[in-house]
Amino acid sequence: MFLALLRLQWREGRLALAVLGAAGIALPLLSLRGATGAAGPWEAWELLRASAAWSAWYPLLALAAALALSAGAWAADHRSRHVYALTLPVARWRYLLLRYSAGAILLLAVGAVLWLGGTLATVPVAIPPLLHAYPGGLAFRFCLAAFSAYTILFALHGLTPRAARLLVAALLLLVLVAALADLLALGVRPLDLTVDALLGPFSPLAVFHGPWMLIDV
Amino acid sequence: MSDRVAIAVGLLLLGGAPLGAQDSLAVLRRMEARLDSLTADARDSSSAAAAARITDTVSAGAIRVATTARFVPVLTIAVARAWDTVLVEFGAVVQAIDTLPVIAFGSGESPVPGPSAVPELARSFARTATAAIWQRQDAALVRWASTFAPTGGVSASALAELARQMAATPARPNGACLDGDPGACALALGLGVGLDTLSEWYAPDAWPGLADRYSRGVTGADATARDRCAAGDSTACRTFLLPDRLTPPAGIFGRHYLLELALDLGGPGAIGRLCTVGSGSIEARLEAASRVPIGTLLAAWSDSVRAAMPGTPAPPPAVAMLSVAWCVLLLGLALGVRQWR
Repeated sequence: MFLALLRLQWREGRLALAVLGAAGIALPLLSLRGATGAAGPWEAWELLRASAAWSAWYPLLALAAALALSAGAWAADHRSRHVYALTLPVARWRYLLLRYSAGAILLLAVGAVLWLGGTLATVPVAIPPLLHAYPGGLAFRFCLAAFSAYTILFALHGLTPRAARLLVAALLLLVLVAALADLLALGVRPLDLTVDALLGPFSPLAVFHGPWMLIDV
Repeated sequence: MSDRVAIAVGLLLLGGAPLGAQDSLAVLRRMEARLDSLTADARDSSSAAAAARITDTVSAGAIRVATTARFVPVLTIAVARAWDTVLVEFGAVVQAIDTLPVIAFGSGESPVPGPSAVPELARSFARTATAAIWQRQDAALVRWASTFAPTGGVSASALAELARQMAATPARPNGACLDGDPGACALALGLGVGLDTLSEWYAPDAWPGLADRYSRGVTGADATARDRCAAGDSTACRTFLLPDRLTPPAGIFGRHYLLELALDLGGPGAIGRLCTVGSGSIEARLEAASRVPIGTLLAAWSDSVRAAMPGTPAPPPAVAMLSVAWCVLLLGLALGVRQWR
């Protein structure tokens, strides 16, 4: 059954996966295009500069992969109003776990492609003595970040209409409170506090924070 | 009839001219009066605006802040606190300073900050005052550290950038310094450098790159020397790459961080001690400020920079575990719902 679901999800999102895979290969190669590491004593500057300039794309790729795969995990069931899932002799939680796992495996595949791209990009470069290439570390961070975002989005996709309404109401309330706090000059910024909490060191998205450099010290 | 009409028109025309002239005069007078009124309004409003801009000076010690009356209450507290901070930092050094350049604060339209803004304002004034006092110190110290104002702490990301900069700069001492050799760090920071600064800091193959990266405008013979150096002429490099044109291997920020560390270790009065060691070497000043031997200070600097080296982008185990725990929790919540959409 797991393989059937995996196949179904692959079919559902193969175009998106192909794009994500291509991006996973292309980003590291593009970031180090033309670099040999042997162009002189200042080559380390260029490598670090290129690594830093392209580092913002990796978390975006992780987010895009999470979005595509979480949507793909639910799309078929949402379309058929869960008739297929309800006809199966398995509990809801088990069915969803299988769906989640299938998406997670496809996510791992994107991470593996990114690792391959990073390795292909750094192997021909003579890395200067004080610098290191981190294709594995980058792919690991990518996988963890993508998993975190994928899990959150997967859970949001599975919300009941009532829970979804409550969530939207809470968001609207937050915006309203923020506007009131601003108008009354209370000195409190609820929106900033929420964003800080969402990206803070103990949040589920904390892993997005940090270096995303393919080549670093 | 027509003659009578013609006479009437003629009389009207004759009387009309003075009438028109009288009207024009009245209009002119009205316009003049209006103009006077507008000018007076403009004068009043500009003087009112001026009054709203700068009317008061708040001062404490040598700090003077020019501001408007609305800001005076809050600034009085902030400036007094700033001066207290400067006194604690500099000690006796500032007693001799009568005044510092006036700081302008607040325009007519800007809102008056509340009491919660006092600490930040005080910090800001103290920083400005410190920078101004710093510029009055010994030329060698100012040349070594350039513009410096203690910030009270350096972020981990700034230290990571310093480590990256040192690793990417092909300077002779940087590798050993990042391996933990305090002597090499001293050289990278420009402490105890001999007369041939260029050769001590950079190998000849790095010289063209140094000249190429020199961003300040140069003209004439200097420009020619720079271009020839960038093309690989070592003699031109010796001419062009004078010590004051060289980027220190640890950068100016590396020196600032060493100063921050010395002030942090030295506690209250550290800047005062740094500045009052008359004509002492930079090392002697740093020792006086930090109250620790220069070797210990350099070792602390080196350890901090090495600890801040970013390394692998893989998240640390704690972050990875936290991330997995969140995933398990959120997945558990999603699976626990019994209702399909």
